[in-house]
Amino acid sequence: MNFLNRFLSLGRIRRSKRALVADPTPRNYLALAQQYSLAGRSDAAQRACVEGLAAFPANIQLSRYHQRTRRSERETRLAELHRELAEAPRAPLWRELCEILIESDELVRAEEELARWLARDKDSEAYYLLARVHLARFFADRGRDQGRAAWAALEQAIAHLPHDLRPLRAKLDFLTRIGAWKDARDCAARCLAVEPGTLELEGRYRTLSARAEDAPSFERALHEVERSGKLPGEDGGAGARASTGSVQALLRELAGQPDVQAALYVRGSTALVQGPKGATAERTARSVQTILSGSRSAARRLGLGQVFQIQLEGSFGTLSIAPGEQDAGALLCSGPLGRSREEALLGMAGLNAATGGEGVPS
Amino acid sequence: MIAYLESLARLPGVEFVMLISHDGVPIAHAGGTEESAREESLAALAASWLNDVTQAVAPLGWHAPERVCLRAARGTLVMRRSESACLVVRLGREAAPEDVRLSMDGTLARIERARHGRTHAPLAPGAPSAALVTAQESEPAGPIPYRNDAPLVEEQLRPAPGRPPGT
Repeated sequence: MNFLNRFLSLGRIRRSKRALVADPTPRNYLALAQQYSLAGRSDAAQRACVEGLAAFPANIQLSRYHQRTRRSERETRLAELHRELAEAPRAPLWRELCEILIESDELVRAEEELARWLARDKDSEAYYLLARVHLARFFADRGRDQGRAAWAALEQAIAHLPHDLRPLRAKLDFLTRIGAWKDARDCAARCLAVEPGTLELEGRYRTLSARAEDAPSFERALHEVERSGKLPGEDGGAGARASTGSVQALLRELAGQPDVQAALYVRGSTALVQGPKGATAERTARSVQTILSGSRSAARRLGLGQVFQIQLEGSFGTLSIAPGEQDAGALLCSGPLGRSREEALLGMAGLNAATGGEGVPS
Repeated sequence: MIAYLESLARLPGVEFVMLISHDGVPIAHAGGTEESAREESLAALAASWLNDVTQAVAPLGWHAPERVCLRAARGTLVMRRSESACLVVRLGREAAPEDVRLSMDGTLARIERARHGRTHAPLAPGAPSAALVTAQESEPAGPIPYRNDAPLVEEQLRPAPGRPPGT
């Protein structure tokens, strides 16, 4: 940016700051963040977004802009790292690059970079990062193949870093989370062999020993995770945040629109249905739940990861389902879904509202 | 047929295009080198999901969905069903299913037209009728040659006037 532009941007930033002081609205926060971005000061833009989000946490525009600035900053750093790696490739740069990619869930790119790194100089750190990529993929997809790949990558990392506790700890967490307690206990013992006397590890070892009695094997645990899509301890009943009333109001509002035939909210084995009554409501809820579980399983097997939306179109109209972690919203319209309804539906997923006793059991 | 799929595979955001039968057998595919290695499993999984969805909506008295989308963290799977086959498109994370709606409809319509056109292709003068050729082509030759005899004389007899047939 040349001197003149920088000088002009200073004036614009000052004006945006004054407007924000006079009227602290999300719009003015956003305007200030945009001016900072235009001036190439992405750190200041992020600070403005964070400050705005602290005052208006539910503002979607601010939150999106914050994500965008973070992404652009990350992309800038990635470009710098690529440039430096092309000039003088070295392990710390590869590591930073791969860590950024793993943290931003760009697993394919991370895997490609790791393959390049390993082809160049078989660094042991690369094996550990590769194991992290496979683990991240497994926890997102929860498929058996990804689980086996994660196990193999962890074993490889442990073989290359025998005195490093990080791959062993990653393996211990992995086995504990999938519920293979017996294998997890053995892994905790290996961790203790590397770092004897660690109180936390000793505590974990005792807990795992107590649970190892009837524990499933590693393969069995993976099979169970793939089948249910849930890790042991991820209980559907925990963490209900919104009230039933707020979801029902949203469902009523959606169902009141002219071409909406049914609006549903599904959580666990119960569903709240607006529109159809009696047996039809029950059948609709059951169909939505069947589609939901089948689609989650299909996405895992297809390697697509966590499902965000399922949409069916046909002579019956449009059925759109937006699954959250433990719940889902669904809308059946006679015409197309439309942008506003899609947003409302996506907002319904993840509400984790309690449905106990009031919904349609299915 | 691959030419039709390739034009779809060239669209931005499209990773892989495949035409499959309703029971999950891959017919043709275009794009994506990674997916093409496991096209059979992709076809089987996609068809199985579509059949599951069809079965799930059947108790509501609905016909099979014509178009289904599965948007997920690592991409989107869009399937468009026709009477004879199913077009499967895998999109990258940045692409939306709406971006390929028209192109998918067009591609599937062209494939159906080509299939239909082949079945009812105009014949040269003097050639056997189209219906006969179609019947002959659609039925593969049996492993053992057989003789197609004329019907028995009794079967060709007409009932006597005033008597109902079969008496």
